[in-house]
Amino acid sequence: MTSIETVVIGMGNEFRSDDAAGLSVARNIRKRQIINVRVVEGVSEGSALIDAWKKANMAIVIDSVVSGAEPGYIYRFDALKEAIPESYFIGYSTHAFSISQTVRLARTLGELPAGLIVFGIEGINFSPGNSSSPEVNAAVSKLTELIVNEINSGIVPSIPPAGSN
Amino acid sequence: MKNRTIKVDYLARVEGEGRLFIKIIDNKITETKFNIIEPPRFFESFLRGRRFTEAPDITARICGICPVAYQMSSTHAMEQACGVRVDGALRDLRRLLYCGEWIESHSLHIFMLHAPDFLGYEDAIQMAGDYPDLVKNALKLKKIGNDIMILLGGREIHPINVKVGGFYKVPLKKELDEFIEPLKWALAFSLEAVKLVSTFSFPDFERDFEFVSLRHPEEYPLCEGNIYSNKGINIENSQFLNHFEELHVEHSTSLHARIIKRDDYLVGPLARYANNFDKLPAIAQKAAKEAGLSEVCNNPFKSIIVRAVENVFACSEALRIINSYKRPEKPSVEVSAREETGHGCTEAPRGTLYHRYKIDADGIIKDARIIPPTSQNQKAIEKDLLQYVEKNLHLPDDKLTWNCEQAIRNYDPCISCSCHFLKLKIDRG
Repeated sequence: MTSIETVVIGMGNEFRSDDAAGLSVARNIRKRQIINVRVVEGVSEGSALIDAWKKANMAIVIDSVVSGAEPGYIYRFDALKEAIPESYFIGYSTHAFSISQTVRLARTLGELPAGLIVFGIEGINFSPGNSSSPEVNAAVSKLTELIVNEINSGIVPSIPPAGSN
Repeated sequence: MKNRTIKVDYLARVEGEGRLFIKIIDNKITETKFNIIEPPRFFESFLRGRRFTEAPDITARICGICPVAYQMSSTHAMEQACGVRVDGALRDLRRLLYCGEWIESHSLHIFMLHAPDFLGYEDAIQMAGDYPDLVKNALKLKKIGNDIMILLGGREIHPINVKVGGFYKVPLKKELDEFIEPLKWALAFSLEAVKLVSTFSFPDFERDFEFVSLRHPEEYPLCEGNIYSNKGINIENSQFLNHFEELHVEHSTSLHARIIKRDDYLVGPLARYANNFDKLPAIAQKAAKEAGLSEVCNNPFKSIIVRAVENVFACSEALRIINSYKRPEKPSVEVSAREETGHGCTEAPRGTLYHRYKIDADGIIKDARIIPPTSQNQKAIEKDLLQYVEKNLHLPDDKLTWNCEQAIRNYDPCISCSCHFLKLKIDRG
């Protein structure tokens, strides 16, 4: 790891259709082999999430959301500056924490990275299997490019605004 | 006629979902129901027709918190059916993997789920504001447990390296040695934790439990031993279903267990501790005594202290295993199927987990039976609540509700394993 490392963390269950959106974006970014970018997947609970971003300068977390927006809608939150809506991100279980709870815990413990951007992709089909919806597939491609561009140009946490689609 | 209604629609800080209903009329409890309303998960059904070697990976999917317990009970059952015994370093590695699960599960429950009850916080995030170092250390301890599971299991959630007969791959000595310093820290912190949780304020409440757990002649039980109770049961695991039965009750999709022709019983840390205090290492016995525990603890609210003592045991046992480890030449022993029935009973963090499988000569599972600890504890939970509420009807609704939730969390219930969702409703009419 170098001092300028960015960690990209893909969340979700690859066997629950649109829930795999975050994993898919992370895997796309891994294929680009960008220098100083580490891609992490398989994080399934709060303390592991904190651990994943602990030593990074910048962390980008991607997960599916359920907010009532159009399928494929992309949310972008600068977690250091704004609250992550609790109800959007599905908790992994009542035993562990959701992303928003984990951000709150990390903030309390002083364990947030210097930069933390949370992206959400609105899903509609969370049924068992891997048949993600076309809108989500399109959003996965779009968000991949958005994140790669941000990484290459130096991430400016406040741009673009949340809800860009 | 005086009636009161206390209702909690969603009980937090437990695994899974359930509901509790208490009806009180004229200061008398007329109904106590611990409802588990999730649909059945059919694991026992879809194990049928699968190969005996698949059981550890399939059953690990039952729980994200205690997958090792499911793997250990299923592998032991299959090995018993096939007439194979796993010993030596492979047996030790299984105990080490189980120690990892106990450390991560107990740490999560003690500090993140149960401690907020005693310290007066809604959740661990709120608690972290006033106790940041405690929460940081708790997460560090939990991570050490998870890391043991990653090394031995391949990953911490639903491990993939366990097989009937042993492991797919076993660690190098130097890989295990890297855990020595972290585990020394973990042991020291666990000792501090016993002291800390012993200073909490505990409701004055005791019950005359029948404690059921494994008991092994030489060690604190994890994977092996007789099924033992403080009221006379001492049987091999193959006799489990001759002494325990499951009953369908209308208000729960999870079966209730009881001792045949007797009543409820308790599995989990309090039972293991009471039945096996003499098998704890000296350092854990000393910590327990200094924390004010006697050799039997009948106050379920004090289960948090016993869990902390068990963490001392788990760290100490993990260090013992690592220090004596010699890498086995083969990661597993050969296991050939035969037509037989096998039983496996091991100690999940929250209690005894029983598996039974019938397999045919080709190794195809013909029948499966799984009895998880939370379903065994359902009747004990209901009885705790009944007796606790009876003795504390004078308390205001908010205090009584808080303590009822706390009483349920005493069991660290894994409702998803038995089924799911807990709504607490005390209906006083």
